[in-house]
Amino acid sequence: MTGVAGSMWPRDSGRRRAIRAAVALVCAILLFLAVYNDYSVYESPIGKVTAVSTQKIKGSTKRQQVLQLKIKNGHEKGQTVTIVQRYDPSQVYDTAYEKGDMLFLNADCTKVAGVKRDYVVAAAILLLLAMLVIAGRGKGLLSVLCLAGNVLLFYFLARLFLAGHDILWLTIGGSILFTLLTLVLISGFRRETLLAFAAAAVSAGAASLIAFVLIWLSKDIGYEYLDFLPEPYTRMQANHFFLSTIIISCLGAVIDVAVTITASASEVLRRDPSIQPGRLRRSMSKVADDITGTMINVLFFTNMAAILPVCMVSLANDVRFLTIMKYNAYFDIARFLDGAAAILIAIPVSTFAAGLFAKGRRSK
Amino acid sequence: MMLIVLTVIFVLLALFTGGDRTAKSIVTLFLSAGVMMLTIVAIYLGVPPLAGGLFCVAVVAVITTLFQNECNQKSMTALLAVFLTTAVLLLLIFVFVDRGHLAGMADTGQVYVRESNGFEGNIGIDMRMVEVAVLLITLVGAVIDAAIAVVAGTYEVAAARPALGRQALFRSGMRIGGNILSSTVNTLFFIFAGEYLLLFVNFMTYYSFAAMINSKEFAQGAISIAVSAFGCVLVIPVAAALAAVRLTGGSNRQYGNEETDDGGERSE
Repeated sequence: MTGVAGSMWPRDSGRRRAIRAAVALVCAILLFLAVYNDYSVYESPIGKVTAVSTQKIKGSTKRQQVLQLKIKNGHEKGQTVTIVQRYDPSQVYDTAYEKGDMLFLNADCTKVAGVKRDYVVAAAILLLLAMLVIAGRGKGLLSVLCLAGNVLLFYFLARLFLAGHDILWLTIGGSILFTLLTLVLISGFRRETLLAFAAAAVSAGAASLIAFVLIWLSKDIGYEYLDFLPEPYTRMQANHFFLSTIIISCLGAVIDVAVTITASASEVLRRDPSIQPGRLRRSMSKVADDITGTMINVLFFTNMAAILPVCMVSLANDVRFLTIMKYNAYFDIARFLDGAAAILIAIPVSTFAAGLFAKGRRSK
Repeated sequence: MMLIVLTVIFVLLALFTGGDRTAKSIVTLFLSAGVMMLTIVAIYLGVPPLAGGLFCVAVVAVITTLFQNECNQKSMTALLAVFLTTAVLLLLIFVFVDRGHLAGMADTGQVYVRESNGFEGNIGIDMRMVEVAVLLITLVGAVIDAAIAVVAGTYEVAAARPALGRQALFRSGMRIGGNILSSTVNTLFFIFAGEYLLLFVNFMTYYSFAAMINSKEFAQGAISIAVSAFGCVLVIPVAAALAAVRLTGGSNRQYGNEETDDGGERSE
């Protein structure tokens, strides 16, 4: 019983896929090399570490490194520089540099100012994009486009924010656009796309409303724990930022559910166009029930994993675990809970939408 | 307090809108959350962070697949797919954390936990391994989700068409995986956007795009999401292959379906 189906695809497809894979890989590698070597783009001097020697320091947990660096841009290009720096082996705030690292230096090239990481980020992203194109077939390329589109939209909104517009209205408007863009690219211009959009909007909207009410009713929110909040801020501005992060998070969770349910509904309708709306709704309820659990799991771990480092440093500095959860992790937990609530709200909303869809089809 | 109210709302919604599976998954969620808390405390108390992270991922994977989805062949296959993929991802994660120097707290932006706020840095815990654990735990939810979807879907296909061979089953699995991939990747992107919106805005306001791209904070987030998404892409062929092999290995009567029908009951 081995591969009776065998080669179901015409030979072209195989060759086309191989070409596409090769093109994707070559593009990825070229782009990576471009970012790796983009020293001239930067104003600060960049040095590449050519040698490192590490010594312990007496009477301290810290260690000392003597680094040899070769300057890669600017006036001093080609010169070699020696820099001494200290670090704690835990590497909470410091870094132990290695041979091959590329470091930003201060103007005199006497101290390290930062690490050049753009090529590492590029590597991760390019790897993902290349794999999407290679393994995902046609849909992979679509995913890439969808991501690129969303990123551009995001950037555009950020510029608008810098121009002075309020973050909350930008987020709400942007969310509608994000959702439309994603849904259209995934499902195409069909009626079910519109239904999925409506379902997603209502679910995310409801969950956001809950968050809105709770935020406004809360007497004190420890916004000093909300990292990267632009200072100075008023309570209302902070509220807007907090709510914006929650809205975007809810959307992510909800779009997936809405798409899955409306896609399943249309598939069932395709097989059985005369199905009763009630029966369809029950069937969709079961589909939703299946996926909700794993979606909530995804939401939990993706949101919460990042608190690990904060927990370590806080616990080691005698902060109680409960305090960390109540204050440092407060915003992450709120984002997760509201996103999970959005997913749960999306179940009845999407099944209702699927029912409407069935009614609409039957009345044709 | 807001969190308590949200938790209550969450539990109530789960009871009212969800069915049995949802209720089970809420229990699974609490168990998994408990495991993660346990891991945090264990690492603080001296357990090597890498071992802690791997332990957390393994236990969560087992709880999620076996408890939520019953202990059967499907779940075991999905579990194996998750473990194999995670092993490969681990190597990738090491490379990224090491070369990208992603360990530790933020060094550019304004965060609460910083030295000037009294949080000393010599804590005796290797933050590089902690970061590896963070990346591992971030991807576990999404990878399990994808693996279960692919395996369950492939088994469904096999149940409807028992005569399908290994290659055809594998292709079906891949197709199912491809369908969920777009939405999974987008979900991850949105979660990342929600989490790092403020970082983005902050850097654009006070620093520059170039500073953000090279900052540790941004790199931590971008790479964790990229690795999670990559994990989903990777687990699909692994899960499809394992399911196809499992379904066709040995006898074809995995389902106890004694009728050797032509498998063509459903007309396409």
